[in-house]
Amino acid sequence: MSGEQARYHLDKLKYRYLFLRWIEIALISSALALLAFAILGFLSTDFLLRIFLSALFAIGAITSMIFYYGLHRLNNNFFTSYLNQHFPQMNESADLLLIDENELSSLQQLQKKKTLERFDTIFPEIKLPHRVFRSLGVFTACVVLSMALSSLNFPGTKSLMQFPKEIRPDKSSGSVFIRSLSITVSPPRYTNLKSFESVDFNLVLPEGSLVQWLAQFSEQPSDVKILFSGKDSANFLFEKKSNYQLQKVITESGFYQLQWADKNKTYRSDFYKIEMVKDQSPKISIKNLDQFTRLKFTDKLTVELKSDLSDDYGLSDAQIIATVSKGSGEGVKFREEKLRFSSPQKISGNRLEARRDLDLKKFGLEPGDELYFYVEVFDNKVPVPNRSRTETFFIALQDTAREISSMDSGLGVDLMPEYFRSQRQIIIDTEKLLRGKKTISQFQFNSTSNELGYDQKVLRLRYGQFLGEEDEAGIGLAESPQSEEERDVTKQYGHQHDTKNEHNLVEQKNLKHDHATESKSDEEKEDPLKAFVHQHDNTEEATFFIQSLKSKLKAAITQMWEAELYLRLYQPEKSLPYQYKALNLLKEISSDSRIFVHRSGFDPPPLKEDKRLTADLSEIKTNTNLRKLDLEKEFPAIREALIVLEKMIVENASSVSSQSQKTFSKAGQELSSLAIEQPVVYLKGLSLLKSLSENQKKIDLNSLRGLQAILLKVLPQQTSSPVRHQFANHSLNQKFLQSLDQVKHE
Amino acid sequence: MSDFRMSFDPLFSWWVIFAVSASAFAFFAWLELKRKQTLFIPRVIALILILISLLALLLRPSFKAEKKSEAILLTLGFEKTKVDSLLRLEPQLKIFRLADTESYPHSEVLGSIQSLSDKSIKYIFGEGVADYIFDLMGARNFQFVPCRLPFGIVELTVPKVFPKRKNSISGSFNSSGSTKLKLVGPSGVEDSVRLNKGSTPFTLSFRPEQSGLFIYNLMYEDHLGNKSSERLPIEVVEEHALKILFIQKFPSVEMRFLKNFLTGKGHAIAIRTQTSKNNFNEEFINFPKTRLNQFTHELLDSFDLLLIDSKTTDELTENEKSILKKSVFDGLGLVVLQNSVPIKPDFYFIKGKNISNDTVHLSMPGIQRTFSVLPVKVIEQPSVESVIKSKDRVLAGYRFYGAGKIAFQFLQETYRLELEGNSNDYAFIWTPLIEKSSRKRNKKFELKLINPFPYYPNESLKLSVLSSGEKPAIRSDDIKVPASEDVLLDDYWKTKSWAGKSGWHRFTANDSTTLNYFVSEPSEWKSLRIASQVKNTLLAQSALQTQSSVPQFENEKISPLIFYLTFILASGFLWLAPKI
Repeated sequence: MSGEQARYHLDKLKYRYLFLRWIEIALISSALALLAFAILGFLSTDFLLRIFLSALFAIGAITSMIFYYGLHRLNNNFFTSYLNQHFPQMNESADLLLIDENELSSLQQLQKKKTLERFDTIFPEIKLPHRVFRSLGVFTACVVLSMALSSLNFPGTKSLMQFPKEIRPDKSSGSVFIRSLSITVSPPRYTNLKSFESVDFNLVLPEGSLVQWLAQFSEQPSDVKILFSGKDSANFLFEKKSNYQLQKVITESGFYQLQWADKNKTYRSDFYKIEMVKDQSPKISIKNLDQFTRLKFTDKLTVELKSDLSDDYGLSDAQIIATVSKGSGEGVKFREEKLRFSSPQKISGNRLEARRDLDLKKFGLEPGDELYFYVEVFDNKVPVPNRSRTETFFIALQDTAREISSMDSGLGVDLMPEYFRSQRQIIIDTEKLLRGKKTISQFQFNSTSNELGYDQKVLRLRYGQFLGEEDEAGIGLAESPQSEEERDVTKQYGHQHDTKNEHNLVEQKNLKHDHATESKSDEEKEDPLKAFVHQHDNTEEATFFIQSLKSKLKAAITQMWEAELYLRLYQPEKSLPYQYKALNLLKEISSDSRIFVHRSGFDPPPLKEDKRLTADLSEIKTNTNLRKLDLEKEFPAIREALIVLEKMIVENASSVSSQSQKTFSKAGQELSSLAIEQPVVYLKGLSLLKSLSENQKKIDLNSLRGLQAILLKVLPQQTSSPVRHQFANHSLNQKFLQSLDQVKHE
Repeated sequence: MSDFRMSFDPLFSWWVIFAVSASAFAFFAWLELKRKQTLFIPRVIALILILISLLALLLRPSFKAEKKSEAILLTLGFEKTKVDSLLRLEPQLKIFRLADTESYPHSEVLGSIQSLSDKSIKYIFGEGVADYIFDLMGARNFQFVPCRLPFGIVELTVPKVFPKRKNSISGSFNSSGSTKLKLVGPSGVEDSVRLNKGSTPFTLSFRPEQSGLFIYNLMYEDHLGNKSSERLPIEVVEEHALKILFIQKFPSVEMRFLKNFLTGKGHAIAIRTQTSKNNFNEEFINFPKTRLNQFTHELLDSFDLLLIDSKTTDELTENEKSILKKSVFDGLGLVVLQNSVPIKPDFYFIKGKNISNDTVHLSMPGIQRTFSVLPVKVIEQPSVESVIKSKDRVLAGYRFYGAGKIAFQFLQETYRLELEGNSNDYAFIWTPLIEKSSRKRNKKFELKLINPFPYYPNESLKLSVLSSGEKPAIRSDDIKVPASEDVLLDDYWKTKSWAGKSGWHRFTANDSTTLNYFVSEPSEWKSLRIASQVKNTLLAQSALQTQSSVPQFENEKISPLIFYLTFILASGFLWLAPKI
């Protein structure tokens, strides 16, 4: 290492040292400043003053530490002596590093060489003195301490604050004015919000807050009160000297104005708004469940309910209202249970996740039963808490057993899992069978074809029941005799009303078309008397299908017969066309059944033609009605004020005439009713109107334009009306028209 | 110089000059007589010469001579190159320029506008001259070479503004680049439009809710971000109620809703509805009870509009029809609501042909609606003015009949708009038809400003007054101004006034007819002013160019130096004469 390198290294040490010390100084001085700021909070409320004094503290600390560490006179000698002290291998010769070689004796030069070599080896190990970590500790402690002190100092302790603003409606000397007005807002206890002093006369406060106005007057006034929303007033209570105070619980938004009197003169402050923040209802969300959950009996019958609950001020209670529905139809029974959440045990706080496992077995849920539930949450509002609830959630336990029980007794349960196959399914299976004909054995083919024939039969029987076919004498297994109840399938599936009047119903339009159908003509052949007798209790008529549907259904069944026949004959390819025809007919039937809506319409009683237009009109006489509608324009004073404002703007008026003051005063009265409902929109306008009507302020063009815009918002939007035009009828016009008329007649 | 005529421009009043001169001449003549010296006659001649020269100095004689030297008048914004080119062709031309115009070589500044009276201006360059300057120019036969149109609003039309409806102003904006134009009313921005480079027409809409005098602002921001604003005076006129008579053969929902709509707007309504053969229902709203059982001139003249169904008109007697016809001819509005087709030919007949289409799609503000309509199509005829039209099919309209109008409304079941709560659309259908077909009420005077907007302080305003027979007494802001009747046209009066300071002003006639106008600051509406001045000067040029080319004369003053010398010589002789 050369001498220059050594100097360079010493400089590096210097910068490192300075860096560490400055960090220390910054931490300590900031810590002290923070602490000072917090402590000063007890002595003064003036924010700027506190900042200034704290800054002074910090500057003092920085200066003293600079001097303490000698940073102002720091040079490389400090580091050479440090090296001499802490590194004995330097042999107290570190100073030689700073001296130029020409100035050294040969011995010194030799020693310097050695020192340089040693310095080179020890340089990486040099640790400069610092207290950065200690300072960091001090800083952290001071931050915590100052925060603690600030929280003690902040809103709870009642104002040591100086009253910041005065209200002086009348600038003339000798008038009584409010030297200071302090407003303390104490939100309801349940909100857990601390009382605070409003920094603005316009108040934004939680619902139900207690507001305390403390007014200090310049002299003792009389009759001090607050006017709320221009309709209600409350008197201030005399406290001491010229101090007055008033407390009121605020339950609605609006505006207020202070009023006091002195020497027969009444003073009114500007309007200030009261914006009440309503306590919101709690919010609930259930995320892990769909609104409809369908479970099988074999599934795990425990459902976990997770619910996120939140509220603006705090929750007080939550519960699950569960209803178990058992049975079906007429025999349905309900049981309601109120359940608590299992976690957490007690509902409190602003936001939480509540859980509960719903054990369906414990509810006694059986297949076919359903559980309905919703979550209900209450917040901590007093006296009446806000309540909210979720949508109703459904958990249904599927009743697979009932489907099996209603199956035809003649069927092998294992072979036919479904009650019956649809026509479409049979077609698909037939086509599948035909495709796989080459790969399967003849026996298997025939067997499957036969099974499909059976399916076709079941389907046919199913539709036959709708037509009132009680039994059938077709191919295949004979149906076991059914009980009377079971046979009346239409009653099971249908829902009939007013069947007594059925014969009076209007016949369907396309009935004509049906006459052409084969079935109808067959019937007529079979029963020639049918056209001449009035027949009741015909099994074929006793369904809820109208004639056209029945004929279509019959046609479908015929097609099914044919389809089944070929399936039984192991000729599924011949059966397919019949199956398709049957499917098409079934589709038509399903769309035709919509005709019921039309059929259930109102049948008016028939008109009696002979009585029409024969009323006795002798008592009807000429009636004369005279009315006068006084359509007073809405907001007349506001309309007048708009004209006056426009004039003032154009003329750049510097004062308000007494007549205009009256107009503005009246307009203010009209606007105040609107300002109660929408203080945010209209209160500013009301204040401006007040200042204009009292000629208080210097007129500002922009505020006049602003007021004009607010007043124009008040005017209702009306539809256009025809207006009468005017013109001066010149004699030439008359002559022209007369000439024109003459020309026409010529 | 075939037509030599002497004229004078006396310094003092004629009789003072003659009295003083005569007495002075008499006095000096008497002195000369008293001297009893030689050379009497030459002395008297010298005395006469003195008298003549004195009179000439005081009377300042001039003689009318045919114009020899024509001139160019340069006004603001003239283009030098064009003047140069002209001077190359006609180098003998004199050059004058107005005081505020930039200089041009060898140009002479006109001390006052008055001095234009004796100048023979052959060419005007630049923005042209204001209307009142033409009055000062004696002989006018010039050609105008206009400057380029300035950037800004160069054309503006503000129609009569009514409250509670959409009104529009239109104009043209000459822009150097993309410009945003906004119309700002008392309640804020009403409408805006983005304009391209060049002269672009624009239309801005607004809807005032309150009648009165208001100042709107036309604000524009060019592509460079420069913002400007012009104050636009808007007078929202007061609404005057109509007097409407309804005659119905039977009560109908349509009429009932129309009645409710009109009474809700404060109009005076009288209704007569037949309830049975001999029984009627009569209703008077905001209207005194009157006998409605028979049409009389008095009855019909007391209404502005008659709404009648075609069934009732079919049953009118011939006498009633002629009374109705006469009343409509005199100005009554008549709306015939057709109950059925075909329309029977009568005096209220609107020529149309029956078609099968009985529904129509109608574009209304912001929505397209379907209406049932009478299956009639009005045959295109110039006499029929359409009010509501769907494509080429006129659904509602009117035609003139004398001073009155006969209107028709083919749209059916319009009341369902009111039932649906679409009152604005209902008003859209009925308001224009009723307003346009109603009788215009007579007033004694109609005031109109001849000068185009804008008006500036201390500039002349020309007002025309159309009278219905009475002599007008016009006041300008409570100061009486004299009016002169047109030489050729009876009851057409004109007057002139000078606008006062910036702001609203008014002219009033003796029947309290009022015309409000706004005087702008001189710094406002510069582009519009220049554009209209250019247009006026162009018009004046074209009008004047048609005049016959009679020789132009100018007054040439006799140099006073001659008279001074004569005076000195004559006086010198009188001094010398006693010494000879």
